[in-house]
Amino acid sequence: MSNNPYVPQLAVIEKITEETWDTKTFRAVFVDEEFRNNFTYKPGQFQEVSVFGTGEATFCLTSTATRPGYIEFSVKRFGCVTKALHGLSEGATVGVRAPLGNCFPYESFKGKDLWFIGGGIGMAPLRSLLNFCLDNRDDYGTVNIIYGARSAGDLCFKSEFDEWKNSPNTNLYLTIDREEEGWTENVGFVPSYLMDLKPNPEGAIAITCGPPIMIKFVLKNLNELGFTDEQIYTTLEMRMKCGIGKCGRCNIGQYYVCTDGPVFSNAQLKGLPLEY
Amino acid sequence: MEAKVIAKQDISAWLSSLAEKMEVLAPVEDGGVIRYRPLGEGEMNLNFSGPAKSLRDHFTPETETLFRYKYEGLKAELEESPAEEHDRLIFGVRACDAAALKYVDAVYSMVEPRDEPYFARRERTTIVGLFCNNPAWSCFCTEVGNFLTNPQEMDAGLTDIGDKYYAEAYTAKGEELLSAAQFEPAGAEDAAAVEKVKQKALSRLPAKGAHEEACLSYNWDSPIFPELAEKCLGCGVCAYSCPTCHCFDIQECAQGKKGSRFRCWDTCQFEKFTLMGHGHNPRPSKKERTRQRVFHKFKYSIERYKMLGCVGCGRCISACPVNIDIHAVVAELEKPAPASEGVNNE
Repeated sequence: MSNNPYVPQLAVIEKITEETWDTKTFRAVFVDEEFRNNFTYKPGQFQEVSVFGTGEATFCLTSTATRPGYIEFSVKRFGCVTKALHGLSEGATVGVRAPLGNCFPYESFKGKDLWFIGGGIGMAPLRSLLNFCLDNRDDYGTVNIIYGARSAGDLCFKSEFDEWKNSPNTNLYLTIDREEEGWTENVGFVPSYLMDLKPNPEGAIAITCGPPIMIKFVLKNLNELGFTDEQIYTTLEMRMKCGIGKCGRCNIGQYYVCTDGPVFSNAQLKGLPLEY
Repeated sequence: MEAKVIAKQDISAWLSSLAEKMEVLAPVEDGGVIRYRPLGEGEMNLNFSGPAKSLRDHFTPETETLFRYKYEGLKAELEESPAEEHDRLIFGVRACDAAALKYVDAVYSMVEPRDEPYFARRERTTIVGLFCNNPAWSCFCTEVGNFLTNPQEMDAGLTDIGDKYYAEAYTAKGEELLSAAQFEPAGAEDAAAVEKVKQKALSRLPAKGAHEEACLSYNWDSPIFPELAEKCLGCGVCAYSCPTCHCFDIQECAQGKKGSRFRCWDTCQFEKFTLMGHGHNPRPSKKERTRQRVFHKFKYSIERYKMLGCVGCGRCISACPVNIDIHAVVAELEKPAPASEGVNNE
């Protein structure tokens, strides 16, 4: 229809899952049949979601194209657009501009042992790659998931924990910050749990996302465990508007997070000015 | 194509004949301020050293509707804004302002998809330049591309040589324009006159510096940025008067069951530009924000677009209420300095 890149596609919210007290996952289906059938994306890419009457905001695509027909995005309630999204009911129409940004270099991960290290809502972008790898299980070595949150109630994607645990050669390590009644898994912060688990860096890749303070110590600990910067990937968060490298908002040094990222290796991150 | 000349008194007749075919804009004086405006919105004034505003709002308006929509209950319907459909000619464009278009073209087209609302206007616009005889005190185009002798993005360019203009075409569109009846071939004395005028103008401008190499080793921790932060009011007039600044915000305007998505100019000099929903701001103070403006124009642009993001028009210098001078900042940064420590080398 249009070649104006700021005009979204209409999509209908098909399903809303309450992940935690402040986070919901939305499943949306594009209205235009031709667009829907031709739509595909790669793990790590993101989208701009419009709530008509309120505005547009940036969310990662947390679903995987290996499960076609719909897209998913997880939303923590924070500002205007996230609040408006939380107020929507199933059947509501939203606008979506997708897919945007680069992706995890999943081809180069083939044959490697993967360590997914996520904290809180930071699990959302990792979930796309994780489920993609589980859907192409033979292409990858062991899949290990370290996932932590403040409390058991703050863990997202609980309905998929069994699927993850029961996949072949896949380990799920859960942790929460403080003891809780009935909690049988680990207690402690993600970076220290990582040190307890001591992943072998040989032939391994670590992919991490979470709160900035968690990422900072995870990156440090991974280096200490012997992971090189080329073996470590993360996905950066910056304020974005256009998502297509024009509006200048997510500029860091010579890069635009929206088009050169959001996925960066730690080696690439170390070449960036410290402005993220 | 051979150079032409046009008598000054014939300019009006020439522009009027063009105005029959397309919209014609020119530097027009209105209330003492010279801006590129449609002819007829005031008196054309070609004796200036730089209009108050650049061409920017003619390609990306300060506020621009991207699309409209209706919504009710669960349903929503999009209505696209009709694209601009008329041809335009902008006359009397300064060489710096024309050169700025080359930079903005690169920004808006380097990554697919292109910015179509911008290019819809850009591709229907003819640019006829007017070189400067008397550069302003704040001008420094000689240091960032020498556009007086190396014109960029002009279809044709005129130089004031007394009672006539010396005219050169740089594109096929420009050649066609200069084939109008008001133009006649330039003589040897005209070529000599234009050379004299150019040399005089150039003598008023600073000597060319080698920013393209020097900028790559700018000191991230230069003490000049904490100093600028003390001075800077954060008003953003530098960005709003800049012909290469191109950053924008995307916002919503909705009432009842109707709304529109629009974009509007924005700048890295504002605190909220990078402030994230959860409170983290990667550029929290004016130290980081003033550095971003200088580094983006002089360093990051060379790295990313292989060209400087400054055309030396000097508007930010003359507009700044606290006399911040980007030309002086750059000179300071290009003094020999210790190696950058701002990159994360842990």
